[in-house]
Amino acid sequence: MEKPINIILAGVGGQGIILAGNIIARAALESGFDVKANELHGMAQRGGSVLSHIRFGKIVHSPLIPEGEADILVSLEELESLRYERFLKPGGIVIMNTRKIVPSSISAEAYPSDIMSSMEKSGFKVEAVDALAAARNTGSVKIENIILLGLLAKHLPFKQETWEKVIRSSVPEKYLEMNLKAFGIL
Amino acid sequence: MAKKVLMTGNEAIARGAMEAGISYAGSYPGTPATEILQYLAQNFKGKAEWSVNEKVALEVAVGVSYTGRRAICSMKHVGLNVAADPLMTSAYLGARGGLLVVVADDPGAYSSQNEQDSRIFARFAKLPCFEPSDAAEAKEMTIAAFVLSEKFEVPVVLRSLTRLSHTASPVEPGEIRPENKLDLKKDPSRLIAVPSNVVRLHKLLNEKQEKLREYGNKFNTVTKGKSNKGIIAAGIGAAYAKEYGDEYSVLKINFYPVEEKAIEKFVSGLEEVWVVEEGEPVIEELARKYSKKVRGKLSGDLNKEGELGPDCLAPYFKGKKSKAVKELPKRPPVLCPGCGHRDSYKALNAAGPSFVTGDIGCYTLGFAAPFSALDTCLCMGASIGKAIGIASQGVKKVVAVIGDSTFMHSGVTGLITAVYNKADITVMIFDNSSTAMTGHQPTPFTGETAKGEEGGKVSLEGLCRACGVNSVDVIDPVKSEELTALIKKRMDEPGVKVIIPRKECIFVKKK
Repeated sequence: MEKPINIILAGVGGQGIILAGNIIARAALESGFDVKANELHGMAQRGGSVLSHIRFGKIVHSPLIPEGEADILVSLEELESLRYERFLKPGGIVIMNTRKIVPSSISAEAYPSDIMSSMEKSGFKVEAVDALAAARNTGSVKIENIILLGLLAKHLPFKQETWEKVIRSSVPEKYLEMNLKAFGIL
Repeated sequence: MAKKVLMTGNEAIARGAMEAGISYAGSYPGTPATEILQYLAQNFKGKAEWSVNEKVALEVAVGVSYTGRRAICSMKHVGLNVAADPLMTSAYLGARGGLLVVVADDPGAYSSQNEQDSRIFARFAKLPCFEPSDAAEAKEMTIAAFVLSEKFEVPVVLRSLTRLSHTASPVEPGEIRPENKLDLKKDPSRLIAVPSNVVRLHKLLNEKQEKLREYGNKFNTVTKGKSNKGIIAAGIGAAYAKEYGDEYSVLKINFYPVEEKAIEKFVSGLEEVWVVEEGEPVIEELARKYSKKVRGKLSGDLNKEGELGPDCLAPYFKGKKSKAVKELPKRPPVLCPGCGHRDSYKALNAAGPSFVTGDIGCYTLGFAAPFSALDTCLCMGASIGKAIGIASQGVKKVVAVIGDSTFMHSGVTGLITAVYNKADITVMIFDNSSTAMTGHQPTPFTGETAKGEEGGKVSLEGLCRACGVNSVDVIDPVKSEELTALIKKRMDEPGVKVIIPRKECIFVKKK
């Protein structure tokens, strides 16, 4: 693999983006890749837009993904997928949680409509999922991030046991079974 | 070979300090530098402490250095302004045990009030400065900085950036060196900055500069390419430069003062030289002395403000234009649901102040809708001074809003000045019992140390009274109407009045 695999993780503060980014980065390192994982935090608990860049491959230089070079955009919120669309390469994959969190700056009516079809029109391959509903079924609304990771895993060259090992050491024991279920291992 | 682990730049700097055998770590929280001390508080067995501000943190570290032991002091870029006084003169007095000042800059001002470049501060103080490009280098250069500090007997600066501090990459942990032995010596001709000493000490510092340039040049490296275009890249800029392929020669600068001969040699024969550096055109200025074909910020090709990032050369090297950012509804951070500051701002707005001076912390978010409660925000602690100034011109009902941790950092001197000069202001100290914005660090008012142990405790209202304030009210901001009435009453009274709306941060409560 000459060029690194580039993943953008996007969402809203409190959705567990930083944890999800850590899990991907550690799985990449465990799998023998060079890796850089950048997170913009400081505002994470305050409902702001959150963005994380994860890159892995034989060698990774820039901690940030150049525009138009992301292979996959994983988004925990619809509007945030659109916000960071510019990072995607032509025909890139979008793994999108069909959840809408209305920003404090606008009314619910002003929330952009048809985000999914607009991204499809731009030529991206969109995989949409209602992770909130799936999370509820698994037992906690707080594991939307892990449900999306489970979908992302299908596109990445890491072994299932590597994911499992990393998840096991990333989440508290009492939530482990729930997280493994959400990921799709159990 | 130890197994590589993922570490952020901040963690790698902290780990490097441990491996270098430090005996002390000090800091005041500030994004993007906070996690350096946090990592040390958790992992380093010796003393790792929050000071009330960066100035005190640096002075403590200087004291440790005088005992012959190694100390690290970390802060965000604007923290260095607060610590500038000890920094500038400690350069004259020098270091005994290795003394490292880590400063994390924030190009793009993701969580800061300005974009100042600490390399210029290091140059101003005539101190050597490292600028690593990734976490592995950050660890190595932290260790090298302590060696350099003891060899040249100077404090050393290490410049990080938001993107280095907060990017995780593989790092190989190494052995931890034992700490230096305690060796405090009196040395008045060197340790006392009085007129009879300083000019001589200044000369000594000047004489070190040439040797520092020569010694430090081993940290700057050249990779040759076939193209007649070359890139001089500082720190993380080198990671961006390498995105453009192997055909371009790259001079990677990791050390200041820069050995100019290295630049002269690199630029000779190149048709075009690009300079990629976050912050001010420090290297570009030097490069222009040796070549007329230098392009960067001074030439107008790259932005002088904001963050450069990996795409800065794309228009010139790849013919790639930056995509227009879509006009989308913004999602700014907001005060958390249930936050006491919400109640305080509601009450303050209802009281009808004429002008509200704000300060730095979570509560700065009160500037935005729906509160729009603040009229100015400058720097740590400035709310009180600005309120004094505005009120001094006869303006009534001026209110300063400051948080508990910020008040301790640099608001208390403003309060004393207000009392001394009989200012007519109302100071609201929003007390959430935490340094919340940077991740809920404890403060002297909570009496918990950085390591989570019981420390000494300072009373906020007691401190205000000791400053000479006779009108000190503590109130639960949830009682919004009561708080509004109180603010109205106090605004109409002469003198300095302190109101402390006290409600613990909801995240601290959960802990």
